[in-house]
This record gives sequence, C-alpha cells and structure tokens, in this order.
Amino acid sequence: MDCAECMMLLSASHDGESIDGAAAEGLTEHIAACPECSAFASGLAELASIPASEVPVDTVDRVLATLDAAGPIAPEVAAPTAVTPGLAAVPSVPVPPPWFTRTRVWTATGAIALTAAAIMIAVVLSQQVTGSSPDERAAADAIQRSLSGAPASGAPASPSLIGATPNTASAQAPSYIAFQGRVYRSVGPADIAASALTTVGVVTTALDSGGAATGLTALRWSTDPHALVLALPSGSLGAFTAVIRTLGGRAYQLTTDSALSRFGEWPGLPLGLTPPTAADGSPTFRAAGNDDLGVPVFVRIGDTPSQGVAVAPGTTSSDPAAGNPSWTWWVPIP
Amino acid sequence: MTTSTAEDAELVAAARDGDTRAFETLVRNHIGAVYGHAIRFFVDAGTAEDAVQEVFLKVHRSLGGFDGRSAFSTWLYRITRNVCLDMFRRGRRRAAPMDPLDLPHIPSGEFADAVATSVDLERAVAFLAPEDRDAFNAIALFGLSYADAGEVLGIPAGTVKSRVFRARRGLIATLGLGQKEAS
Repeated sequence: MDCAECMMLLSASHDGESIDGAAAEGLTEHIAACPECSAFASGLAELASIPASEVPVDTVDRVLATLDAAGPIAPEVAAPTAVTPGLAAVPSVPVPPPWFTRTRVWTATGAIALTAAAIMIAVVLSQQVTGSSPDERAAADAIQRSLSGAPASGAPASPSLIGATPNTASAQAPSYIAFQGRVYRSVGPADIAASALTTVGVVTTALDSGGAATGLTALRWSTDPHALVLALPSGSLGAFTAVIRTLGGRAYQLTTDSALSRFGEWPGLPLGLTPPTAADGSPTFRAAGNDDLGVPVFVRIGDTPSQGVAVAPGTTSSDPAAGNPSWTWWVPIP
Repeated sequence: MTTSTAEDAELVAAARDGDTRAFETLVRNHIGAVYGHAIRFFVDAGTAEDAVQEVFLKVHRSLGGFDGRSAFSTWLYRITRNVCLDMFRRGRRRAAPMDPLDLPHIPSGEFADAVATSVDLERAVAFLAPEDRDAFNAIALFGLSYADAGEVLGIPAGTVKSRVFRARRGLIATLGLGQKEAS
C-alpha cells in the first residue's frame, strides 16, 4: 500500500465507507511505519473537529420572515431546476485583490539565466507595477512567451530551485509538483513583480532539497492559467508551467492523485482507475487515436476524450511526460 | 446541523400538510449547510444570504412536488448548488477571498501549536479547486453519501471520493494540521 492509497482509504473511512479486513490491516501497518500518513490521520481528526461557520442570527431571522410572508406550502408544484452540468462557470480564481502593493514590495533584480535545458524566464521590472498597468501586462506577456517558448518536448528538465548539488542519478527525473490535482514542472527561478500575482493556495513539496516536504504558497498570473509560481523557502520565487499535451488542438494537462512531495516522483493513474493489464488499454481503456505529436491516447470504455485521456508508459523522448513508468491521465483545460 | 433522513421525511410530510412549524424546523436544521455552501461559493456574506433566501424560497415553492425518491438533503444540495451557479451566471461575482497575510498558513512550528478556527477553515476552503470544493461541501456540509453526491454532480462515486480526499489533503496542508505528532 502506498501513501496515496493509504490517505484515500483514511479519508473514505472517515466518511463511513467500509474497508475490508485485508485493507484495514494494510492500513494499520502502513500508518504505523509512515510519519506522513500518520500525520494525515491526525490531520483528518483535527479537520473534523473544526466547527463549521455559524449562520448569522439575523440571516436566519430574515430568511424565516421571508418564508413566513410567502404563505403555506403549495402542493404538487413542479420539481426544481435540473442538475446544472459542468463546472465551467464556477469561479475558481479570485479577482486579483489590491493587497499585494500594500503588503509587500518585491523589487525586480534583472534578467535571470536558467536551467540546463536553457529554459529562460527573463522578466525584468525596474519598478513596482500596479494592477492592470501596461508594465504588468508586458511582464505577463514576457512570462507567457518565455513559458510557451520552453521546449514542449523532451524529458522534463530538473532545474534546481534550492541550490542543492544536482544528483546525476536522478537527472532524468521530473521536477514535478502537484497543485489541485494537476501537474506542473519547474522552469526555474522567476523574477516577477508581486503586484502581478495572486495567491491561490498551497503546494506541499520538498522540491529538490532532499529534506521534508513543506507547504509553499502558490501564486498565479491573472493572464496565464498555465503558469504557477511558488514562494520558495529562500524568499525567492520559482516558476512552474503546466505539463500539457494537445489533442485535436485542445490542451490536456497531466493529473495526479499523489502529492508528488518532491522532485523525481511520477504521477500514476487516478485512484479510481484500474491500470490496464494489456498494451491496448484493456480492460480499463480503449484506443482513441493519437495526440498532436502522434502519441497514442486512450479513453475510458464508454467515454470520449472530453472526459480525459490516458497515455501508456514508454513514450518517446519527445513526449511531454517522457520516461513515465506508469499509465498517466490527462484532462482537458480551458 | 445534521439530521436523519427519517426525521427529515417526517418534517417534509408535515410541512406539506401545512405545518408551518415543521417547515421552520426543516429550515433551521439545514440552513447551516446551505449558508456554508453559499459563503464558500461567493465568499461575500451578503451574497451568501441572498443565495440562502433564494434556495429556501425554491424549497418553499417546490416542496409540494418533492417526490421523496432522494433524501431531502440530496434534493436540497442540488437546489443550493444550482442557485449559486445560476446567480453566478446572472452576474453575481465571487469576492476576493482574503488578504494572504491572514492565510491560516502553512505548517510551521508556531502554527502547529495554534488551533485552527472555523474562520481559518473557510479561508482555506476558498482556495480549493471548485470541483473539489463542491464535492467536499456535499459530503462535509450536507452529509451526502459518495453515490448521492455523484448523482447530483454528474460524476462517478469514485470521483467524488477522490475529490473529497484531495480537498481534505489540501485543507490539512494549508491549515498545518496533523503536525504535532509529526514533529
């Protein structure tokens, strides 16, 4: 049993899902030997103990007064609205707030040369910029250009963000992190005006430090949904870009249910998908053609690519996730 | 407040028979879940209250046609989610969640000794992916099963399980929970 499976079982058990005897035994053994899963188990209990927000009393009173005025329940009225499909309209990224300029000032320091793969982000802002100024847009455009200009092919590079001596044995391992179930890879340090960034959450990773995973604040540019920035323990910023393949001109991002708690970890299939036992994807998948680089893709039996596609291990070095030892799962992004 | 399906069914039956006190009890029992979903969706308390009003007006208008094939909480979650989505489509926008300096931060020695509050939790939930937040709300606020949540969300129960797990993992990391034993 690995950590992702253990944590998933713990979460499901918390919701009253039954766990069979063998799984329960494996769970107990794993937690006893694994500090991370033991901490997750404690975290679950702590999370459950946090009380939910109270509804303001005057809100309750106003709602009841409105309903009282509405009169008695009407019999046999048509059922409410049907299920609203999809989440495309759900607000996901907060409106960039004005707080950055009043909380911190990070000054730009100049162009930065990056990475063995010669990926370059060179965003230089000589002055603090504000919300929607031309300078900010120019900076964001420069970032986008540099990210989109980064090689989309070849084994993912592993630029050091911590400054640790590269380990040649893991030189081909990806510099992946996971954020909200999606995979991003490092493209090196970033020198970006703080005013162009919005905090969007936390990524738990040890990066390439070799130490324990810690929570790092994740930030985004309002103009580039494929890019992610982490506030590094050193105080500097690290730039990441979504691991993407295209299919029929549509972008699909690599996903993970694992935390990817350090560089070098590979994502596998989501926990709900059984790894195929045959090269043709059966019994889980069926072949669904090739992506735009000619790599075969697979879909779940009965699904279409709009629900996500799988890619078999053993792709060529030109693949965006080349070297992955397992089946991978990719979902379309807007 | 979590109530049993049987208790809800009795209250629904009584409310449909004109018992206004039963309907008020039904509202009081479930308004926390509806408000919780709305405040996590819109962040702004005023907009959340508008959503709560609209949800219970829909319930009031539709309860006579509620066929009881699903649990009341499942039906209510469906209405709540749809009302929030419809309000968003009509132009009600989500407020910026918070100042990052107020983030209930990240595992650290000091925070590990602190106690996370409901305010911290709501702030952390605001940063979840929308699909993870929806699944988490269905389970944690409305007490739905994975299967019932999956039916409302139009996804398999296994996907609900995965999303709830991802939400919890994110919240635990953001709030720095579980660190006392680990450190």
